[in-house]
Amino acid sequence: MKRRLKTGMAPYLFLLPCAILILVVLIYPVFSGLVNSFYNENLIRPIAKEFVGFENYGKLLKDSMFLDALGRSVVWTIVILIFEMILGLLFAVMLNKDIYCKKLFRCLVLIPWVIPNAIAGIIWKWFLNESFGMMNYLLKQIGLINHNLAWLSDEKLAAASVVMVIIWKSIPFVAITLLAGIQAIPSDLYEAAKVDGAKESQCFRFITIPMLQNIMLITAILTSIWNFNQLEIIQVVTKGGPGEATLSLPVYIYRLFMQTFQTSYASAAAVMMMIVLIIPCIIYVRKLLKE
Amino acid sequence: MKKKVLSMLLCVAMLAGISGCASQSEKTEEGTTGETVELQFLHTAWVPAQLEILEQAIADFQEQNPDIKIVETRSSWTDAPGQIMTSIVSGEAPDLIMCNTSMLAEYRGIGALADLTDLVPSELIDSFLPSAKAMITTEDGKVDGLPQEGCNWALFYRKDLFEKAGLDPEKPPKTWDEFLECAKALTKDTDGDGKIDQYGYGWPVQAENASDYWVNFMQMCGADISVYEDGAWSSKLSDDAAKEGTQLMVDLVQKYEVSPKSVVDYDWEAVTNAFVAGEVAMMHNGAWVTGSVAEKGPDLDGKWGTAVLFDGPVQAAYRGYPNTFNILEASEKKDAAWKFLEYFYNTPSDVEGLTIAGAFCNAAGGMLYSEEFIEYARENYNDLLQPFLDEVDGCMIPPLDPQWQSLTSMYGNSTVQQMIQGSVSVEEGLGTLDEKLKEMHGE
Repeated sequence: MKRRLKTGMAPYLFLLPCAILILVVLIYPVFSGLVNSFYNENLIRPIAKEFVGFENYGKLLKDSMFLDALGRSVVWTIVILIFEMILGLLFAVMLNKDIYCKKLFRCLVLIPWVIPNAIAGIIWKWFLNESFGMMNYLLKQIGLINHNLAWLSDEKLAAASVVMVIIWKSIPFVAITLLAGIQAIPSDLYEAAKVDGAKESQCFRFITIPMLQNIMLITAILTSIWNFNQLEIIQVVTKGGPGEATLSLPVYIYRLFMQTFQTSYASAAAVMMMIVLIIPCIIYVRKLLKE
Repeated sequence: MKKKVLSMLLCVAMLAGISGCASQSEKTEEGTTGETVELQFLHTAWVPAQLEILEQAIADFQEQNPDIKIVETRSSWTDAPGQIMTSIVSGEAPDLIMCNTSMLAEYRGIGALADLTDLVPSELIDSFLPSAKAMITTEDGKVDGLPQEGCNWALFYRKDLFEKAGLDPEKPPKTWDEFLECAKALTKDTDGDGKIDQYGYGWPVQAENASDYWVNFMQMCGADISVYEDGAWSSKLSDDAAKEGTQLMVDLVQKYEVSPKSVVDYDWEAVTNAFVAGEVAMMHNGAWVTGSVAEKGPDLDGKWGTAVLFDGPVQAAYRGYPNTFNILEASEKKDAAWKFLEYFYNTPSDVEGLTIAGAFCNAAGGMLYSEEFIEYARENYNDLLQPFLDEVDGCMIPPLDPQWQSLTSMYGNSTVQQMIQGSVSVEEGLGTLDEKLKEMHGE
């Protein structure tokens, strides 16, 4: 009996340290943030902390800055997703071919992903500098522009620049993941298709794409969550400006919490962000469970 | 058997760890409750020469006062605000801190700073310059800090470009009208491609710079911005003076086109780069930038100069204010903290003519806002820095409204950028900011 109990308890005991860690590092902060979002705490206002129910949430839904930041983040995530998937797939297909120095190229493609966000931000900030940046220089050299473009000080271009940097940062992960997926496709499928007279493009359309669907979905979900949460690159490159052109939801929450100490209001905004992010998470978990 | 031995060893290791922690905490406990007073000092000094002076001062002070031990926590201006605020809220605040203007206003607003009125002798207060006195004096006349390293901002101008534009390189603008005239003359399409490539004037508008310089423009027009009256802060952003000052700033880009729209992406370094490259002929920047210009543009030696900032349409408004040392109200060791400050401000340093506090500020290229320091600086600073010293008596501080930082970081910086870009009108932008500030005040 004792032995059976011991054997029965063993898995739980093994899980305990990990469970405690998750509880302390993940669950508690989330719960604490959730509770705090129902209060009126503002560290620079000497007023007693009071329970205000859903007041912060009500205010958020009327806060145009919050709604704009949320909308911006959602649109950017979708745009980034489209580009990173197309370009990532393109790279994956190219790297799967028998090209010269294949291994070297596979390593090189990882560089943007390996560079820390803050460093990548600084590199791009200089690259996009209106007066001294390489971007304007290169575009002028190939005759695409006559005058320097204000990549970071024009409201529309700044948003495009930030999106471009995030796409650049995300492509390697997508490419390498999809490359692994492509390599896992059994070669007999292609051979059989070729015997049946299928062209390369047909093989890609009717074998590669369908076989990659699952991995593409999981990659898309993961990168969307990461990109939606992107803070460092935006903080380094534009700090949310000019104006509010690059003010994404994480930057907005960062300002609320770290610069203005509106802790409860910021918690409410963070909970709203969590709710938005839970949607792709649910799809991801369901997908995993299915498999 | 092996498993049992392994488990025993693990248990012993854990017990050793736990007992180690226990003995460590006992040691700490002794340090705080025994004879020695342990003073927690959070500072943001990072320049090696400055740190050396601070370390030496702490060591010498501890030698003279063996009952006081100073425990340093090094932070940065980026991290310190959040670090100190959370420590205040959690009841773990340090005893002695360094503050910049926004931190000072916020901590003062929540009553976190200790009243030092009875501790600071009047002679010491009298030795400070007006802007420093204004910084350390609360709305109800109490003293809650001591000024330390600060910086002035002045006009930088390219003498060679002045000459090319037919302006006298030895006569930088002194009034607003003269400035505008110079800026217009200096704004040119130098290569004839139909696009302006040399602007008359530039200043940093990226992130927090936006509001810092905006305040300066409003002060040039005599704006009060936010005032403490009848026991509460009140927004004055809807006043005509605030509107005129804001319009003045926006017109430089939108109406006169003497400044590039890209100022919204300029921080102090970017505007310096533009100045060195000849893209802007005049700029408003801090004293430390004199070194950067010399470093970035060695070929420009003798081709650029500095001058006292031109007066605004209503008054001269020079930017220049110190950071401060403050003792926290929650500290139970205020006397010990004050003893250290007293030592720091009254003990002569190795630098002739300066106290340790003066040498500490000097080592980082900053100023101590005191008569004694200015006297020293006049004799020892180079010619390029002299105009910065000429401004010291007329320096103005930003609003010490506790909500000001929240307003600027949440709405102010972005709205100023939008107004400069022309996507929001001055009327609309200022209206929004006035409304937000009033909301924050509970007006």
